[in-house]
Amino acid sequence: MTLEMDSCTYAYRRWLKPVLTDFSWELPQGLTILLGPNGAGKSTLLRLCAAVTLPRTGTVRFQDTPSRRREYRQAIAWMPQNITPIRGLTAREYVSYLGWLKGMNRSEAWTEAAHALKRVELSELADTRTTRLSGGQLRRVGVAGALVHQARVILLDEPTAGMDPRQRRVFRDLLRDLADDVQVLMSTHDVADLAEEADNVAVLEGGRFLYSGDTAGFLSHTPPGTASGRRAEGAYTALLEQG
Amino acid sequence: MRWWVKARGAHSTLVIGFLAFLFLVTGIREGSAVLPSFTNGIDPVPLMLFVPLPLVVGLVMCLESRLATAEVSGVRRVALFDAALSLSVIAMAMISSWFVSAALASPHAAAAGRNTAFLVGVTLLARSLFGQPAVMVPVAWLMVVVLFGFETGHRPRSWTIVPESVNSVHAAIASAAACVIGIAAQIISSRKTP
Repeated sequence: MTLEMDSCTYAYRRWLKPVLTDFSWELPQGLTILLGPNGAGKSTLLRLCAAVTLPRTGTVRFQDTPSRRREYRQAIAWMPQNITPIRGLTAREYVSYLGWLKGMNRSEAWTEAAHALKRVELSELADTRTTRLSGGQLRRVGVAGALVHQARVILLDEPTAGMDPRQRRVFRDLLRDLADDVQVLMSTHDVADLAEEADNVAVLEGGRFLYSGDTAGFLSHTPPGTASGRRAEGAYTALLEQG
Repeated sequence: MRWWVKARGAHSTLVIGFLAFLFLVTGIREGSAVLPSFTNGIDPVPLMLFVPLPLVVGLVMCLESRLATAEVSGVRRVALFDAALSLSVIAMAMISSWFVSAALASPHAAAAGRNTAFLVGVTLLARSLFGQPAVMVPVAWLMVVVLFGFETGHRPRSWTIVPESVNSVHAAIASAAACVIGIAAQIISSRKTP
């Protein structure tokens, strides 16, 4: 009962070099952190899993349901890297709209939007227009949008960028809480902050995994003598250097 | 549906665009101005040619006010709502310009509705290929028409469509075709990766 990618190849244009080639992967249970340098293919991988785009060849499935199907799309929640504010929508309306897009009816989406905003500590700004929110607040609206429809898999593309330290703390607690019930895949550059709390880590470079497995295995790549607070960063750097 | 309307800004942007359209179509009527032309000397150009612009630009602004990836990965048929919005704009423009034309005995006013259909169609087709910059297409089309679209004696060339009289059969067919192709392109391109 998991999200699987089977022999997926994807290029943004037919004549361009594929970002992912014959890529197969099964998303582990719990919280998985997706690491990698810029241009490694993290966002592409997340967009394929979120059914924002379809692979040129191969399939993405959840419980044997391919990503083009309605059931798949309802099972997956997605927060993109860039959260676009919409002039006419307040934070609550924005989150409700995301819920409605996923098939919720109006009253259900409206109620769940309030709960989702509360979980990201944004209730007091629920009636504020999204164009008046700061970058960090907008990202929290984006996270609320991913929580609103009780998805089975939550995909987050660099959700902590622009959040202040306290909000990161709240977000980390929320992630741990979520990962008990659903599969969470999150891309980040925030290696030190998050990798040690994850159940699994995947390191992507050039469209292939340098590592994919549990966090203990990832941390075992830490070079000897690395300070205890920098183990994740050390392991990540070592993996990239080994290539 | 309500949030889709608010996300598009249809309740504000389009209403303003439509009021501007009505104001201009009522106010301009047979008004004309001398504009520079490479092919037409100094004959005046009907100002009614420019009347559809606020409505077409307003429509593109509405369609661009969206949550692109969320709408593509959602389960609602937002592309069909957008197509219905475009058709509504065309219908409103045609009906209102027909009424104004009948009330004020202004044949140019009736042509404004047809021209809106043509320019919306061309703009939607361009938007499916080039995205948001397509908002410049109706402006560019009108500029090309003014600069190159008239033969000596103020006869519009056949490709120009918008300066043709309201009774022109080929302009009506071209507008209907542009409209159908533009909306089809809008629906098809909504499946493209944002």
